Amino acid sequence: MERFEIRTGDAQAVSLVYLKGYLDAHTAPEFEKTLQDLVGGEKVNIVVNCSDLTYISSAGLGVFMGFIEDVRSRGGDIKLAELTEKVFRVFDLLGFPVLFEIFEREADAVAKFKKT
Amino acid sequence: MPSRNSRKPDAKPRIRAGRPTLRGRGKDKAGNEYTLNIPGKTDNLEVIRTFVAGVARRAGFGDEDVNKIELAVDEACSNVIEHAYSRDEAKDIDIAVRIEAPKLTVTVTDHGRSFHFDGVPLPDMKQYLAELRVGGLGIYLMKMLMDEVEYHSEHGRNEVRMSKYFVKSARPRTTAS
Repeated sequence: MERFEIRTGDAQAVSLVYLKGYLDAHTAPEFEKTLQDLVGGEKVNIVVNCSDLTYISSAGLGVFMGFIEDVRSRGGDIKLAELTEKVFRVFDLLGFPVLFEIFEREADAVAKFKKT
Repeated sequence: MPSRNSRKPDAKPRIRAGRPTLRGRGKDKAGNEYTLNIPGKTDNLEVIRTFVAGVARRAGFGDEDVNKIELAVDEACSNVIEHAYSRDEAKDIDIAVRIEAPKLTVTVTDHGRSFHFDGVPLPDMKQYLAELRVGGLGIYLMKMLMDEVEYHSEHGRNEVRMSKYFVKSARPRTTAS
């Protein structure tokens, strides 16, 4: 059964978070903890790669909203990359692209941190 | 429409695995209902989504609508688990999917704390995002994703009823949100 997995990595002072499976009210706390650990360790330049994320509900969106203020107040940002069409539609439906930068390729999201 | 040989006409979905029970009566034609009774815990949201998406797809909805129905039902059930049941996993959720032209209707029933569904203000998304708010998007999403959403609460039984029309033009103008 397809569940939920999180992997993290680093690329040139940028933290990469890879989400796989579904992000709903059951799995959102795990994602929350991952972001909590990164922010707690002052790793606030974050790219969330969603290429293998198959589903997101408002509980998942809430995790992004829950950290963005803290991350930006520390001079960082959460950028999203490689969203599937299905997941992008949910972000788009709620107007999230206004608040979050979304990139087609992970490398572009990472590169954007260098420019800012 | 499937060809007459494409599937067995009287195939009845009947899954029994532990406590959750799923019953399908008849074929996916007019007036048929599929029901799922399942403990209200977040771990079961995936099962609920799979059930609802399967029935919706079988009823003839395309991917985009199936995704909308699946998400709306997830939001309704997540609300029940979080707010009506306060994460008491001993309580069940009943989900009924009724296919009756011109629409598919999903009813999510719980026996927990009721709330003023229609009294929950829908967020102005521009303001919501500008103020970096968190939570409170479930009902808004349900109303955005489905054509009709109603909430009833009576004698300790709460019901969210959500419908999606098979053909957009069949949707009554008076219910447009």
